[in-house]
Amino acid sequence: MKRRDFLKNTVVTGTAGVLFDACAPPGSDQIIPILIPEEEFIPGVEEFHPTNCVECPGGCGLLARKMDGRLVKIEGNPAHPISRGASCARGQALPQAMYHPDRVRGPLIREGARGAGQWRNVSWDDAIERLVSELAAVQEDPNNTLAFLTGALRGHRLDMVRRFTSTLEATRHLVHEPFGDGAVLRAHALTTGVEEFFAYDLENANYLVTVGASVLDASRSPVRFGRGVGHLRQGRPGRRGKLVAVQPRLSTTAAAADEWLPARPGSEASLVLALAHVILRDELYDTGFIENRTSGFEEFRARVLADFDPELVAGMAGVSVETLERVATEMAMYGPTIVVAGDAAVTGPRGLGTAVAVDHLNALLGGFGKKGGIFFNQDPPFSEWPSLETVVPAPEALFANLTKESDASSGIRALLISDTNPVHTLPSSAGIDSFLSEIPFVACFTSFVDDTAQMADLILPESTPFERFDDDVPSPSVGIPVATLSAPMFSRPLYDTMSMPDVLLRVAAGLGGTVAEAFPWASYEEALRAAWSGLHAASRGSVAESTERRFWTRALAAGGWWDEDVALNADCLTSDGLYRFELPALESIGLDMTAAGDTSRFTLYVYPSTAFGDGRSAHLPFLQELADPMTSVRWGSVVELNASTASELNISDGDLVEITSDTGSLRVRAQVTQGLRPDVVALSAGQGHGEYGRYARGRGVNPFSLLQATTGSDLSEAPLQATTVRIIKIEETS
Amino acid sequence: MPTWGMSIDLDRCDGCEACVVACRAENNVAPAGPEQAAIGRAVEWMRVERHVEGEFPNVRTRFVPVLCVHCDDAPCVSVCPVSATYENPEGLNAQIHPRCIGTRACAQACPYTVRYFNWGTPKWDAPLEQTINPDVAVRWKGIMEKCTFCVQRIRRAKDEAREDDRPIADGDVQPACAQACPAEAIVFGDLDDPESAVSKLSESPRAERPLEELGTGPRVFYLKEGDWRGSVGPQSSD
Amino acid sequence: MLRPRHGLSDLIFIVRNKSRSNEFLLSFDGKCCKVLHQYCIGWLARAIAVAISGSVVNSSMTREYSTRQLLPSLILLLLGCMLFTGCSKAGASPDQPIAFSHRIHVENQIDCSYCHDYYEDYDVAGMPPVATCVDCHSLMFEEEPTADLEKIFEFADAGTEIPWVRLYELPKYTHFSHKWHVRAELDCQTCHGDIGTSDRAVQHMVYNMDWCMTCHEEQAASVDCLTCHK
Repeated sequence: MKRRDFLKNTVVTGTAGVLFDACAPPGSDQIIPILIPEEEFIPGVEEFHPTNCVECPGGCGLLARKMDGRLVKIEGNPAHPISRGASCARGQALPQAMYHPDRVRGPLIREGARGAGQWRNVSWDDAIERLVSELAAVQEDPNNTLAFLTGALRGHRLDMVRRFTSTLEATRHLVHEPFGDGAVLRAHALTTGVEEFFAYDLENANYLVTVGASVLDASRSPVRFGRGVGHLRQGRPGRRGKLVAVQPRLSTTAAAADEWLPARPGSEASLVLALAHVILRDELYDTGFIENRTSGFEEFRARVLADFDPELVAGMAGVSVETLERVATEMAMYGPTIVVAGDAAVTGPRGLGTAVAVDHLNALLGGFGKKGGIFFNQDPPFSEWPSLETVVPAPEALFANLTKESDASSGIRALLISDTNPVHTLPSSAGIDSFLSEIPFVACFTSFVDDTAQMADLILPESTPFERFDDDVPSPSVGIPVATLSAPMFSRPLYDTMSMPDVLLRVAAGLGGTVAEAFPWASYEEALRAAWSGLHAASRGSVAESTERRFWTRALAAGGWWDEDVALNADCLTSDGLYRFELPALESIGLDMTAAGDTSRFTLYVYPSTAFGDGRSAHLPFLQELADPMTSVRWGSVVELNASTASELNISDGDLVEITSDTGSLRVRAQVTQGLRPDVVALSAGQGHGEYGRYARGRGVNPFSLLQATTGSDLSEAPLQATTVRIIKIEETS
Repeated sequence: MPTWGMSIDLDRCDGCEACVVACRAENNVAPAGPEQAAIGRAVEWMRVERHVEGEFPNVRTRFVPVLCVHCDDAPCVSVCPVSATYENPEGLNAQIHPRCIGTRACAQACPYTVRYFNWGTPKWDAPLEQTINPDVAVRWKGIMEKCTFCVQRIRRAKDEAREDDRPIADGDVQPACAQACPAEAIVFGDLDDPESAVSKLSESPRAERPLEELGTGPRVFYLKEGDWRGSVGPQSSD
Repeated sequence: MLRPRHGLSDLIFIVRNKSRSNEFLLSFDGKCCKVLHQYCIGWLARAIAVAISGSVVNSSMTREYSTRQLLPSLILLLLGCMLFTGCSKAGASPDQPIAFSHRIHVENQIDCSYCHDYYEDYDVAGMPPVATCVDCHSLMFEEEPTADLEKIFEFADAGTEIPWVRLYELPKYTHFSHKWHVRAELDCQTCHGDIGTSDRAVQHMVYNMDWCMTCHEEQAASVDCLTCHK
């Protein structure tokens, strides 16, 4: 037989070989995987360990299912007040984060140029030593600053960072959270004195209006809102609540809603005040609440009645007068009503005004403190750590720093980064690259080499939540004090990793002196336990035990502590205890309609994706494979165009288009939709990572590369619907 | 002997797709990867369909989670030449993997398009295979797979009930999708038990069985969306 | 009854009609030749289908493939099948890292459950960790110490478990629970043979589906596929 024929035969019979691979004769299989478990397990017996989710701000308490010594599944913790046993797509994919092939397995030190991606493995001792020496050098020179850049942290992780930044000389705390809804917090502070997200009694509400916030898909607390809206819809026989979404794009939330108001980006504040106008004009507001619990009402009423007639606002917003009148009347007549603001609508120059307007609308409807309305978070009564004489630096928004100062990095000698990925989620025009390049030493706490860690000098591999002690105080919460607690569910981490607070403790010990004295704990577990002793001392709530040891054991087993017997409250913390109808924030929220001329430019609308959020979950293959609920896209990105816009531009579904803003351009496939304003194009955040593991690397496009970063702004985050772009077709789909 | 069934409330469902990923994680459904997914070979035992009607701005969207409805009279059972699929005494439409020879006739026959073929060997990049649930078989190239109503959970619940010498209570069995759903849209239980939550929901005027007219006898039913007509006032839910 | 959609299947339809019941399936399987258990039928069918389709593709592409050239691959396939059918043989007895004798331990009044302590309450029977061996053997002084006994302590000191070679393994797509079989008052010997009187662990049976189903039928235990298939 000739060689070619033999090979042909082999191909045919080779497939036969594949068929028999499932047969394993005895003797071929060792039992070691069962006999030498990571800890002793009995095959087939499941264990559930409570844990805490950190993929989104929701802060769900979860249960991790362990089988055969490994993490195989996530469920919601049925007792946890936020998740109540449920979970979301991102939480369900978490086991893949633990066993991801591209996890950082040990401390890494950069070799070669920054960003080249060449690393050398080092021991923790060496890594800590390097950190200590860098930070000591910063301490020695009064001209040097240390900056600690984090995401919006909570719980004692935040307290550790704050403590660290306060004990070291000249340290700044920078914060970057691209969809952080910072304007909402500032609005709440202005109107109620409470600078925290509100708790919403959705289960007893009857009408929910969301202004910008995709509350059911990717904003803030999707599991809690999903449950609340599910209940609002069909949880009470005889009553069915209504959901209205005010967004330029038909998000999953707007699609699930009963009514979608496709307001023009930037018009949300005016639209909200137009609704307020109707309520004020027809005197549908809650007079009791207004008279007894608020200040500044008369001036507010005068202003709204004068300037925000629906006739004036309708054309600008793109929502009819009839709709505005009807929705406003429904809100007042069919309460309890809750209005929520978030996402792109609260970014940009009108963001604060929008958030304040929404607060005012809630106040008019008298929702504060009422069943089916709005309540404030209540903090769990933790014990304070030993007090320090030092001052904690106030958190500064990184975005504001970059866009305000000409030389934002001046003086910063060392930068520590944790729980944030600014290289991916800041507009490139903000200058994050030059910011980093000016800083001599950059260290990153992370489980994966992402776009930001790629630019670091030292990578400190973080343990996953399944391998570390941690706690969280979810915000938004549900009005009662809730503290989540998670402990390692394995006897040792999978790789040579350490949790960030534990690294800080070792660094503090290495720095010695007053710094070391400020951290009198051998481990973060000890520090947590010291703080949680306050919950034990409170002798109430879901875990109440006679001894502290029993309390700690029970709290770990339960996954946290909460007190359902606490009365909900909405007591404002303003100086007079009244809700303030704040006005200055409402200046200049109107849109300049005269400049509407350039029809070749569209507003770029950037939103957090259901699967990836701001991008931090893009490394998980389950989520890359997930078909987006509105675009059905898997493993990629599309830009959405309105159908009539697309036909005007001669763009068909699937065509490759180029989107260009004043600061960047990118190419991506187009998707034609009816669920978008004609003057808007929409790009989801989350993809377009330069680096973040094999599943996310180089996949899709990153809309932040197009966003403008207006200098001189005082914004905490980049505006997400204030950039205009052009679109041209590059090639037709085949 | 229970007859398992499921109710999906479309008014509660908000398209978040928690059920989709929960099912994947529970049942070891490996991602197909970008190339295979692009040619329609992604395997999703539970998928969420999006039905859109209307033109901007009057767009009406419906999310419909679709999974095997475990027909009483299943077309897939009729066409399988090797009896790899059958209806078990509890009403589950079972797929027995080693019997399957991959003719894919069942996928053709199924009117709900809920049967998936393994065009390739499911791939787990090490150490992702550590997430494999040992209660569920890992399938191989050339065979069909589909939703099993989380039979492994049914088995566990029966095991525990037998251990405690009691019948299975309503709510003991929660498939992964039902457990994950934040909106509590998915309810699973015994259709033969008139007191079970799913039986009570089956009597709702909103209940509708998908493609009932084909005579497949689906055991999953959907609860239609409610309606709000603002000028009239809030509609009752039932 | 829905008629199947594709054309050539009226014959299949009639066959399916008859074979819808589990009973028919079982008797079909049961009465088949013991070595061709149903697992092999499927593979064989696929092997033949692949071989034929492969050769058809080849011949259509090259136009020079003849039956003669196809023959070696078919022979290899058949040989493979034969090997396959014989691959899980009763009586197999792989070498173990330590020459453990069940007989000696049973004669010393050690019950099965002392080492295999999970079979009454769990799906698995359990293999003893080396600590179990050490517990007794560290206190005993054998009349005839052997090198194998020393190995116990070598493994224990090294902190590793003894790498026993597995004797019984069911396919991963099946579910088997020792607990319910033990509670049904089956002796260990029923499935594992007289392992207690052997000096060397020998595989007692080929656990093919036919063997399991025979007993399930006779004992009126569940014969539903889903009871065992995952």
